[in-house]
Formats: sequence, structure tokens, C-alpha cells
Amino acid sequence: MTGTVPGGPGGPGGGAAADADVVAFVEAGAELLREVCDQALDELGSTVPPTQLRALLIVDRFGRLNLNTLAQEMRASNSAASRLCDRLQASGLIVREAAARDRREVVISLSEAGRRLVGWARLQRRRELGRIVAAMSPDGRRALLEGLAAFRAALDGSP
Amino acid sequence: MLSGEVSEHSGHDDGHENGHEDGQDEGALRIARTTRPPGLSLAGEIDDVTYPALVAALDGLARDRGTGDLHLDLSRVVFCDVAGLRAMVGLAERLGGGRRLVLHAPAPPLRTVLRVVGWNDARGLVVEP
Repeated sequence: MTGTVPGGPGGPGGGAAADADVVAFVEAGAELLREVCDQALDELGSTVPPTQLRALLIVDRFGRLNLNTLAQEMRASNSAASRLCDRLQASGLIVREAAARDRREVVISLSEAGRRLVGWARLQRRRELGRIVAAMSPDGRRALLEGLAAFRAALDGSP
Repeated sequence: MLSGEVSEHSGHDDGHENGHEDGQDEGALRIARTTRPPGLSLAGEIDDVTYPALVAALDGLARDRGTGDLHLDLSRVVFCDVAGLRAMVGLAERLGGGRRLVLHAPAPPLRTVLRVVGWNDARGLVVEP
């Protein structure tokens, strides 16, 4: 665990400490990114609570999914996910229908209204992020891209 | 509390505009039928708890054999989620006969949702400032 982060503070022998610093920095960055993404949707006020929005984004990512999968992705119980779906269906944002191969299985997908809301939310986030990225130096932007690509690769398990 | 007549029932559906009831039941939804203009005056929070009461009141409104437009005064609604908004749009869509549902003073976030989702184009719905 030493020497993996060149240029970190701490000087000679401070490898582990430098790692901790980097990790703390990344964690703060993750929080910052989330805050920027949330702020981009301030216009919605509290009409779409964060949990509902998270569920909509997950449904959008999967296209179609069942309740178990949604509950797993949200780290919620099946009953909590089911109540959430009740709200989203009453809101006209998702559609629930019986699966073709097994009528007992319920498949969840976005309604037209849900697709529009999710599309708008992603656009708002990108606008907000775009404003910030545009204010970075070209070098800074390149470094950010490289860093994120390396992070992604490590997450996926490739070298 | 206002001094004066305090009866057992708050009489929310008797056609009177309800007055200010500061500090009372801040979280709940108060629904009053209005006669001029015909419709509902809503105050408080529209969430999963108060949603059934809202739907019942909207259904009651839809059953009335009126001919003109119906009005919802939202100026004192402090919270409304998308399900509540959807219920209102649903009423507008099923009124028919050239009748319209007019939303008065919805909060800016509700206007955003109506615009983003495209419900402001719903047949029979009018959004007033």
C-alpha cells in the first residue's frame, strides 16, 4: 500500500498517510458531485423526493426491471420498494405490468411522463456540471478525465 | 385559537372558505369546498398521508353536475408531491364537455413539473398565476 500515489503530501515514508489523504479527498469529491447534481434539480423543490428520483434513474438505467431488482439496487426492502412504486405509479411516472413469461412477476418501466422527467433531470445535471467543467483549465480537465477513467478501471477490476 | 364558535366539527366541506387556523395541524391538509368560484380551496401538505382525502374531494367535485369551470386554490399548499398533482391533472382530463379545471397559484416547483412532464398541455387544464 505504499508509493501508489505519487506527488501526495507527507514526504518520504508517508505512503500510507498519503493514501488516506487521497481517499479522503475522493470521498469529499463524491459528496461534492452529489451536491452539485442535487442543486441542479433545485427547481423541482420537494415535489420529487430524492428517493423517488433515485428509483426513477435506476428504472431508466435498466429499462425494464422487477421489484426484487429495484429493491436490491436501492438497498431497500421489497415492501419499501413496493410502497415507493405505489407512489410513483400514482404519480403517473412508472408503469407496472405482468411479465410476459410469468404473469405473477411484475415488470416496472418508465411511463412517457417518467421518461421526460428523467431526461430533464439528466440534462439539468449535465448543464450544471458543464458550467463547472468549462471553468476548469484544459490541463485540469484532462487530469480529471484521466483520474475518473483510472477510477472506473479500478472499480471494474481491470489494471 | 380564535375565540368564537368552535363546534365539534371543523366543517371543512360546508362551502365556507376556511379562515386562518395558524398553528393547528400544520402537517395536515385542509380541504374546503368553495362556491364562488366553484371548486376547492386547499391548505397544508399533499403527501402520501393526505393523498386519499384529496382524491376523495376531487372525486366529489367531479360528481357534481355543474357545467362551468372548476377551480382549485393552491395558494396555501405548502407541499405537494407529483401524485397529488397527477390527481388534479386526472380530474381535468376527465371533466369533458368543454369544462376546464383551473389551478390557481401552484408553487413554482409544481409549475416546473407540469412543464417538464408535459401535463400543462393536458386537455381541460388551465394554470393561473
